Amino acid sequence: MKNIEEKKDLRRSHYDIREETESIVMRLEMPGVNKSGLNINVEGDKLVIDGQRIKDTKKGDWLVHEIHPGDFHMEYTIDKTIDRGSIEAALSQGVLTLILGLSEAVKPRKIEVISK
Amino acid sequence: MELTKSSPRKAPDSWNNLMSLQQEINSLFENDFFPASDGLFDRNYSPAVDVVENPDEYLVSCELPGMAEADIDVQVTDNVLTIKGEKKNDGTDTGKRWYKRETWYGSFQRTIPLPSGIESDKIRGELENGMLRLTLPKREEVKPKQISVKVK
Repeated sequence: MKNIEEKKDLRRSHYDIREETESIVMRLEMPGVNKSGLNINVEGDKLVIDGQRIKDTKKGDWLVHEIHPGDFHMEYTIDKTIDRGSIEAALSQGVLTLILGLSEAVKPRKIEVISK
Repeated sequence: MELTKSSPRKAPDSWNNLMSLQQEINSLFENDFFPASDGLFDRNYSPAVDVVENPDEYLVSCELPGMAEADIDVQVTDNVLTIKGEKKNDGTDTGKRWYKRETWYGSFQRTIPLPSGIESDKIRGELENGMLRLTLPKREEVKPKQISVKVK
């Protein structure tokens, strides 16, 4: 993991988190990040997402400069409800979708009631 | 289920909003070719844009995550570049429990006034990883020319 103090030009991405029946789905907007620049790590209770952007090589005079040039860095704390073994990630069109599976203990369970 | 974010979060700052409005109004009175910030008359969602000028061309980049080529419409009329589009909802967000919702759906428009002298037939555009990159070549007569003077 990169040290945040060393990398000051990091930026956060806009994201959504929603709950599905058996998973937590995260959607992070990371324009300019491709598959090889993406690094997702789970260290204990920490979920760390690093998205390295393809470096802009434009040369000339800047007339408008609104795009933050930094790489993406997001950190989340995940608790025991997340099954560490079932984390899926997909990246398309600059949007990262993470599917964090819920552990068996928290999944909704249907209890059958038997009438006697 | 607990999700905690550890990166610092920017709280909405009304004073900053006021200052940026003042800046936008001030920039209307400056005779700049390019808007200093988001266009005041553009629709509420403005994707971030970079514009770079070099001797041969103008390079425009725009952040459009989650959008396909079919959703984006780029036009050049006279000397105004318009990037229009619609960010479509992927249809997965009905009746779910949300912890956080920051992303946005809907249509947007960015207009960027350009100086004259753009070769509008040769504008190229590509969309990759949610970044739109446009190359707008300058016309030959506008490019700076180097005239060598022979010294006798």
